[in-house]
Amino acid sequence: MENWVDGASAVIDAYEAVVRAVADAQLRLARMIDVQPARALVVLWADLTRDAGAVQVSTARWVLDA
Amino acid sequence: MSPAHGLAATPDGRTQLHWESTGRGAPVLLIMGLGLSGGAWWRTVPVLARRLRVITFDHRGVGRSRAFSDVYTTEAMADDAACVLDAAGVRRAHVYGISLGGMVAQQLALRHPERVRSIVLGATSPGGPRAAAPDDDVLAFLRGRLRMRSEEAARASVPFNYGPRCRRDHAERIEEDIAQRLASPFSDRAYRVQLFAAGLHNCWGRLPRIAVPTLVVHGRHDRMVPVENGRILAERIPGARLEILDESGHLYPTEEPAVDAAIAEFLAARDEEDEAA
Repeated sequence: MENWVDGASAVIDAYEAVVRAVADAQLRLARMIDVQPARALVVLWADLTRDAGAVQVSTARWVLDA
Repeated sequence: MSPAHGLAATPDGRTQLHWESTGRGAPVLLIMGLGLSGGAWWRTVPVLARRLRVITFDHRGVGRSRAFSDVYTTEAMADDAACVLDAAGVRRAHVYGISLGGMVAQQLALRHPERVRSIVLGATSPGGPRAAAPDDDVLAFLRGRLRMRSEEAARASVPFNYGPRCRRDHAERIEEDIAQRLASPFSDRAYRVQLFAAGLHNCWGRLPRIAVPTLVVHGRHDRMVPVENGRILAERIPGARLEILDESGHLYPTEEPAVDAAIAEFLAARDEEDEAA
C-alpha cells in the first residue's frame, strides 16, 4: 500500500512540475508578443494552466492523503 | 520614519502587489491571513524591525495591490510572495505567515526552497483531510461573513479570533485591532477566493520535505484553526519547534505581544548560525 501511495505521489509531483514548466513557457511566450489582445490572451492561458493545474494537484493530494 | 515601498509586478504583467519594507538587517517576509492587508501586521512590524528588515505586502486583490484572479490557490499566492522578494531585491528571506499566510509560507518553502532561510508558521494548518477542522460555529461565521457589514463582521469574529483571557482582560487591544481593520477597505471578492484557496490547501503529504528551520506558534484556544494543526505541522516538519501559547486564541500577536520578540529571537538565532558557519 505504501509503495502505491509513494508511486502516486511521485506521479502527482511530476505532473505539478510539468504544469509549472508549461505555465512558465506560456508566460515567456507572452513576453515576446507585442500585440494586444494576443499577449493578454496568452497570459490568461498561462494563469488558467497554473491555477487549474494547482486545483487538480491539490484535489489529487487530498484523495491520496485521505 | 516611513517605510520604503513599491509595487511588485508578477509574471502575468498585469498584477502589481504593494509591498513595504521597514528596518535593516536580515530580511523577513510577513504573509498575512484571510482578507487582511499587510497593514494588519502593525503590532509585529515595529518589534521585528529592531533587528531585521521587515517586508509586508498586500495579497492580490487586497489593500493597495492591483488586479485580481478568479481562482486562487496557495500555490499562486506563494508565487506572488516570491515576486515580492524579487521586487524588494531579496534573494533569500525568513518567512513568517499567520493563518492563511502560514499556508502560503508552507507552499513558498516547498515551491521556492532556495528563497527561504527559515519559516515561522503562526496559527495555521497543513490543510487536507488530516487537518483538524474548526467547529461548526466558526464554519457558519466564515460562510456568513460576506452577508455582514465590515464592522458587524469584525465584532462577530471576536469569539473566534481571541481567547477568553484577552476578551476578559484586554478588550482595548481588540478594539484597536477592529479600528485598524476597518481603516482598510475589505474586498468581498478577494475574501471569497482566498477562502477557496484555504479550503483547497493541502501540504500534509509534503511537509517532511521542508528542510529549513521551522518554528510553529499556536494559541491553545484557537477556534479558527484548532491547535491540533500546530501539533501536526511540528510533528511532520523535520526539526520543527512548537510553541503553544496557553492563554491565546487565533490572533495571538494581539493576545500575547511578547511572542513577537521571541520570534525575532528565533530568526536572529538562525542568522547567527549562518554567520558562525
